[in-house]
Amino acid sequence: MTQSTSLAPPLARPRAAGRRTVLAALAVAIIAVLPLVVSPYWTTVATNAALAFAIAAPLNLLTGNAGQFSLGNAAFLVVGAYTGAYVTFTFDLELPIAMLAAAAAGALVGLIVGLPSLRLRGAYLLMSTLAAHYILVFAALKFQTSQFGAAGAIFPPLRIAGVDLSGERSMYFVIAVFAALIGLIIANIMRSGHGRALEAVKARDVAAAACGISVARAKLWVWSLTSAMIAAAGVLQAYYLGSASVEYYTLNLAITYVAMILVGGLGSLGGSLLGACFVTLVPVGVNHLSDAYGGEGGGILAYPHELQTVIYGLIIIAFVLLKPDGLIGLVRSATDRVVRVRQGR
Amino acid sequence: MTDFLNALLSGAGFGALYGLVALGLVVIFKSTGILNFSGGALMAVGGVVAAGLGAQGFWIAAGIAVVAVAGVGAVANLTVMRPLLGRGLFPGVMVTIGLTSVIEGSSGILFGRQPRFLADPIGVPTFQLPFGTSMSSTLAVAFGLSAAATALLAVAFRRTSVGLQLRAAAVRPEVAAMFGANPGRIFTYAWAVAGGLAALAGALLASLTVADISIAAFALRAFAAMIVGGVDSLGGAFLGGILVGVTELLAGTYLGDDFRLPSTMVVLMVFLMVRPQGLFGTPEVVRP
Amino acid sequence: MRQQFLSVRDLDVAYASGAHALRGVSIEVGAGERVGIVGANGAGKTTVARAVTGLSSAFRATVRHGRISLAGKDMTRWPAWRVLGAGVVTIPEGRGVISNMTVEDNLRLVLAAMPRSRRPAVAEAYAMYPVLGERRRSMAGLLSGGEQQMLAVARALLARPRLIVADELSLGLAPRIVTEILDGLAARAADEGTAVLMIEQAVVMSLRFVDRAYVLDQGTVVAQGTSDELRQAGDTTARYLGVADLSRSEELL
Repeated sequence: MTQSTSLAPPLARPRAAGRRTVLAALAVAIIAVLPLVVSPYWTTVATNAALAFAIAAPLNLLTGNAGQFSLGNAAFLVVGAYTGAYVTFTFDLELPIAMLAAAAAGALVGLIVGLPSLRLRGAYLLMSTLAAHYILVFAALKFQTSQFGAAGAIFPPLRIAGVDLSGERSMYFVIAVFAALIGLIIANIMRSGHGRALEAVKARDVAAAACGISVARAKLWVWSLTSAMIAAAGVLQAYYLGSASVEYYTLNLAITYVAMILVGGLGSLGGSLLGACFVTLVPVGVNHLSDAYGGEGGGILAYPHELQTVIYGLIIIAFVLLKPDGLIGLVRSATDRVVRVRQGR
Repeated sequence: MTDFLNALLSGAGFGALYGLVALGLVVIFKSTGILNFSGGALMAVGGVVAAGLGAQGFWIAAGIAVVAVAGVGAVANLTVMRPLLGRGLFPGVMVTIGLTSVIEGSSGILFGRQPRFLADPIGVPTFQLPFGTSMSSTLAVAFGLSAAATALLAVAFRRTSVGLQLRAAAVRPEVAAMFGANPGRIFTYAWAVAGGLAALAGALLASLTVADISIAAFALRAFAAMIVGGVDSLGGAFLGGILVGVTELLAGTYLGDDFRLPSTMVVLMVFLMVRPQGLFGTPEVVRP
Repeated sequence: MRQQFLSVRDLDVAYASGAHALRGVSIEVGAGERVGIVGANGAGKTTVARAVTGLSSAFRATVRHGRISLAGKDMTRWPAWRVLGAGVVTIPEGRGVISNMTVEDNLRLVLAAMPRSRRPAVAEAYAMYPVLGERRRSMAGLLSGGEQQMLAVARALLARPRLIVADELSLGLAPRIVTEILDGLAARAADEGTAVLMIEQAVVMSLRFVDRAYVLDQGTVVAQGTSDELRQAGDTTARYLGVADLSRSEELL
C-alpha cells in the first residue's frame, strides 16, 4: 500500500474518453470471439482468468483503494458457494437468484468481518481477517457436514431458464458476462463520489471526515459490497468446478487473489485484470515447460509443482521489490512513452 | 479429570512450540515492523532438515537444522527483507508470503517429497505422572527448551550490544542509527534468531509427528500466540503460546479434534477485539 | 588557521514533498572549533544537521548535489550509522532519548557501537551530570526536559566524538538550565578538543557560546562572521534572525 495510484480519471480529456470507448468495444469483441478461435484448453484458461478477475477486482477495491488488507476472501467464496448451494437445493432456484442470495449473505458476513476495521488497523486488522477466515471456513465445514455430507456440495450442470449452459464454451460466456458486470460496477464506483470516500478511508483523512464523508460508514460499506461480489462469484465458481468442499477454500487460495492484485497493480481495475491473467497463466506456463523438457533426468523440471511454488513466490517478491505499482504500472509508462513520442517530444 | 490434566500438559507442550515460533515473529516485528508470514515455512524446513539428518540422533540433527535455518533467515534479510524497511505492512507481508512459497518449493526440490521421521530427543517416550496423567517426553523437552530460549533471549536483549540496538531500533530507528546501529546488520541477527527458533520448533514437531513441509500450517497458531502475549513482549510470546496450546487441546478434548485450530482463532479474535495489546504488550497505537 | 574538520560545499537538498530546503550551502568547521548556524524557523538549519549526520533519507530528503567531507574524506552519502564511526555525533532536535529504555540503557546504546577496547565507562556521564546517576534505573521518558537534554549531551560525549552536532539544544528549556547544560558541554568540548556545530533558533544564546556563526535564510547562507561581527552587524542580519536589534536583545537576556 505504499504506491498510491491515482484512480480518478482525468476529467477534461475527451480524447481519453473516446479511447476508452474504443478499448471497451475492442475488449467486448475479443471476449466474444475468443472461444471460437482458440482451442478448448485455452477457453478453460480464459474462463479461469475471468473468474479470477471477478474475485480479484472487488478485493482490489477493498485492499488497493480502501487500504483494508484482507485475507478473508476465500472465506467469502465459501460463504457464497454454500449459500448458493443451499438455496438452489432447497428451493430449486435458478442461478441468478442463488447468486443474489449469496451476495446478500456475503454482504452480511462482510459487514461483520469488517467491524474490527473500526477498531484496528495494520497488522492487527490483518490478523482479525486471518482469524475470520478460519472461523468462517470452520462454520462452513459444520454446515457442509450437516447439509451436504462429507464430500461437500455437488452442483448440478448449470441450467438457466431451461437452457443447458454447462458446456465449456457456455460456461465461459456466463463467467465472462459476470466478470464484465463486476468490472463495470467497480469502474462506476471508482469514478463516482464513492471512489473519493474510499481514498479517504485509506488515508484516514480528517479533512474528508470534515467534508461529511463518514469514514466508518464508508469502511463498512466497502467491506460489505466487496464481500457480496466475492460471495456471488463463489456460486459461479462452485458451479464451474462442479462442487464445493471446504478443503478448496484454503488460506493459500485467499493469498492467490491478493497476489493477483499485487502483481497487477493495487487500486487499479486494469491491474486486477492483468494480475488475474498473469497469475492464472503461471502454472500453465510451468506445466508447459515441464511437459516439454521435464522427462527423466530433467532436473528441477521434474518437480513441476514445487517449481511452480518457487516461481510463484519469486514473482511476488520481485513485484514488491522491483515493480510495486504492478503490471499496470508497466503499461502506463509504456503508453506514456508512446504518447510522448507521438507528441514529438 | 485425567483428560483435563492431560489436555493441560499436552497443551502446554504444544503451546511451547507455538511460543518458539511466536518468539521469532515478535523479535522481527518488534525490531523491523515486519509481520512475518514465513515462520511456518522456516519451522517446517527446519523439521525436514533435522529429519534428513535423523541418523545423527535428535540433538545433533536439530542443532544442524537450527544453524542452517538461522542462515536461511539471515540470507532472507540480506536479500529481500532489507529493502523493505519502512515501507509499511503490505509489502512486508507479501514478501514473507513469497518467501514461504520459495522455501516450501525449494524444500521439495532439494529434499524430496516423502515424509520423514525423527527420533525422540530423550530415550523415554512418555513420562508417567501423578493422577494417571502422562506427557510425551518430546513435549516436555519442548516446554523446557522454549522456556529456556525465552529467558536467554530476554537476557540477550537486555545485556548484549545487538540486543540493545534492536530494542532502540524498535522504537526509534533513526535514533538507533544515529548512535551507530547498522540496521542491515542488526536485523540480520533478528532474522537469524527467528529462523533458528522456528527450526528448533520444527525439529521437535518432526519428532512428535512427521517431518513434511506441510507441517508449516501448524505455525498459524504462532500468530495467535503473538497477539495474545502482546506483539512486543518476549515472555508474552511464550505464555501466549501456552495459553493458545492449552485452549487448543481443551477444545480438542471436549469438543472434538476439528475444533482445535478454530478455537485458537477464536482466542485470537477475542483478544484483538478486547485487548489488542495482548497480555504483556505495551498499549500503543493500534486503533485506526 | 585551524585544521579543517567538517567541510560542507555547495550543498543542495530537497525533500520528497517538493520543498527545496538547501540551495548551495557551504559551511566549514575546524577541529575543536565552535560554530553556530542560526536562522529563523524553516531556514533549513535542521536539514543541514540531517545531511551532515546521514539522516537525509530517513526524512525523505535527497542530497541533489554538493559535498560533505570529514577531514578530507567524502561522506556525502554515508548512512547515519557510519557517520558515528567517523567521529560525528548528534544531539538531535527533540533530544532523541529513547523513552522506554532506562537512562543507563540509553547511555549504553552509544557504547554498543564502539569496539570493546575503546568503550568508556558509563560512570563518566554520571560524573558530568550527577542527576543522571541518581536516576540511572528510571525510564528516560520519565525525566524532566532538562534532564533528558543532559542525557542527550552526556550520551553524545560518551562516543568520544570529534564533532558534536547540537540541534536546537535550548528548545523548550528554561534559560538557567540551558546555561547549566552548555557549561558542561563547553568544558568537556574544550578539554577534549571536540568541535561543536550548534544549530539554534535562540540567536543570542547561541552567539554567546560559539566562536563564529553562519546565518541561514531560505536555504542559503546570507551572512557569516565571528560572534562579535554578527552582533555588531546592521539591521539586515538581525531581520533574518527575527530579532529587532542584536546588540540590544543581548542585554535583555
